[in-house]
Amino acid sequence: MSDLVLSALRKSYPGTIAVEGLDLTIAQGEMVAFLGPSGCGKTTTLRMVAGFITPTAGSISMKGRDITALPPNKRDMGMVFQSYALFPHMTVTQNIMFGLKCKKIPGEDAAKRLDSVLGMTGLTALKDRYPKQMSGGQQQRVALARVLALQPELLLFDEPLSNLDAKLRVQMRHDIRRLQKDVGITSLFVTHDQEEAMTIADRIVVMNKGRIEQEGSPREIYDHPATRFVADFIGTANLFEGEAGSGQFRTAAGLTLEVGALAPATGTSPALLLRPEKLHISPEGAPVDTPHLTTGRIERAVKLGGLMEYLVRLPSGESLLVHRQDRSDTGGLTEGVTATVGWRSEDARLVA
Amino acid sequence: MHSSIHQTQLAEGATARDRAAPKAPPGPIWFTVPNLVFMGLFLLGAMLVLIDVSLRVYEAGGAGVTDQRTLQNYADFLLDPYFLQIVWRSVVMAVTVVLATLVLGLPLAIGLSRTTGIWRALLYFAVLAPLLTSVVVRTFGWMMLLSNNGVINSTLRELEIIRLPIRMMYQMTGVDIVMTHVHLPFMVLALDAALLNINPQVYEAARNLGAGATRIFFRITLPLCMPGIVAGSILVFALAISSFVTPALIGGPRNPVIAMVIYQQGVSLLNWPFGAAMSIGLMVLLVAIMMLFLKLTSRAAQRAS
Repeated sequence: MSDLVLSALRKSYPGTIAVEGLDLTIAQGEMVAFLGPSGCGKTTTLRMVAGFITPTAGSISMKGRDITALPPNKRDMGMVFQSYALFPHMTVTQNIMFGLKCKKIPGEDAAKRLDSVLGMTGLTALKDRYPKQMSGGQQQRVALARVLALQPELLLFDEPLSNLDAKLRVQMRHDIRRLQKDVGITSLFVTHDQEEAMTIADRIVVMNKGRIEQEGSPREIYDHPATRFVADFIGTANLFEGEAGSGQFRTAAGLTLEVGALAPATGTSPALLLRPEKLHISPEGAPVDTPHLTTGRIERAVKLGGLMEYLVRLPSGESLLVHRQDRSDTGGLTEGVTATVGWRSEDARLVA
Repeated sequence: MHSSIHQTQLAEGATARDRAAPKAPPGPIWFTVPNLVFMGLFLLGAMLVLIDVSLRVYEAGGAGVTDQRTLQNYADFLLDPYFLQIVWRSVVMAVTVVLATLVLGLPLAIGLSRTTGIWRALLYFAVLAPLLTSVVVRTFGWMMLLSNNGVINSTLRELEIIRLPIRMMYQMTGVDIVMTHVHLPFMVLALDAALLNINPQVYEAARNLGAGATRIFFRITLPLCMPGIVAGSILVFALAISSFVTPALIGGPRNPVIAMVIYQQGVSLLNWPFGAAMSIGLMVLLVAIMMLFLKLTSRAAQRAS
């Protein structure tokens, strides 16, 4: 059953269009991430759902009921803000009770809910603290507890982890995901962090310039990007402009790459995508077991944690990034060496 | 596209900003020296002289300020119902002005704090504009409005709303009205500063949690702007209770406030010791009221800051 339906949602400001004709259906219990660069319209969309921004056109409905004109305090959804937005003059308990009082939840039920969310978020020991006596991660958990106590139909997350340090952010992702699954609550999560979106979401909606660029599971988005933008935005991409022929791709600089049979892409001038981690690299002359290959000179070899990244300059002047598991020996792949780069047909993709 | 290949790694996620406001290192202590010297000479020094004078015996028509010391000046001031009544009138006036500027200033400050760009600049200027005219000129302006044949009363009579004029001149009513006008900017600026300190997402969070406008005002806005309410109230109270020109011109000699009797003793009667004793008394009263007020509000203000 669909829970939240956005149809032809549009928001324009004098001179700019923030969101253009957005259609999206979110199922009960689903966690959907809006992913995109700054200014792509993801936050505007979230704020329209929350009721803080009035759409220029289109509608928002929840459980079949049109809520487009409903003020924020009448919508049954909890929002977790980037700045936590806790009430600084109230303790953790008072912060959580605030919403329960607004919704006129009777005392006994409210106390039960308070205990339950404090336990869920591991805040029981901190319940009498004021926000400024707590760390960022703890504050964010209070913000989450505060909305969970209301048992809303929908949870909205507005880049909730971007003010936390890297380690804590990774931990919180998993915590949020676990809580969301346990409670089974439909959620919308806005982020510009692809890793965060991949970890947390059932479905990712990639947005660019106010439009949905692609939507799908994290794997679909990564393995089958529909457009250059998505291929480029998610992960690392080698993208070649040029022309696709039968079994071949001729790059704009005149290099012919063997690619086997390619699935056609939409759009008039598709680009060729080769993911760096799908490429195989070996010193020239060594045996290669991939059907397609090209050669070039290793211009740069950089260690990225457990990976080696090679920048291979091709004879046409174009370049390829190749990732390889780092091993104790260099395998003869050092800067200045000529190397063979190979790939399989299924690893080459055309994108619009 | 010029380059036929592009590789891009968009690792935007690694932009964890540290939101903790950077604190300025404490400046070298000698930066405060010029100020300390100035204050030491002209505030502390002058105060010591004032205390000294307040303890002298005054001989009217004879030696004037003598070398003899006494506490009689303080006793004369504190035990005389006439002067206590003046102190009471001054305190009531100052408290009235604080409450009036608070009630009028809060909506104005909320509006100001939520306005941005050119509109904020214009509104800010409008709030400050009364301070650009001299207090004397401004008070005379008010006299033209408030007098029995002034603009307000004659208009009301023209409209046949009243037959007899509403007496505002030479009444504390008139003093309260004009003092409120004069001191409103100080209150608004103090409140505006406190309101700007509130994270706007806090209001959104409150609405998201189901709070209506009334609840947000009383449970969020008001407690969170406590530091501004405290600062503005103290500022306006201190300015109002020591004001001279406006009460003298609007209230007239029949409604004296403390500053007027101090002036009278010091300048007209040349009884400097008694004037000094009243000045010290006013200062002690002011400090005592402020301390009491701060004590009452400190917990709320601390939590909100």
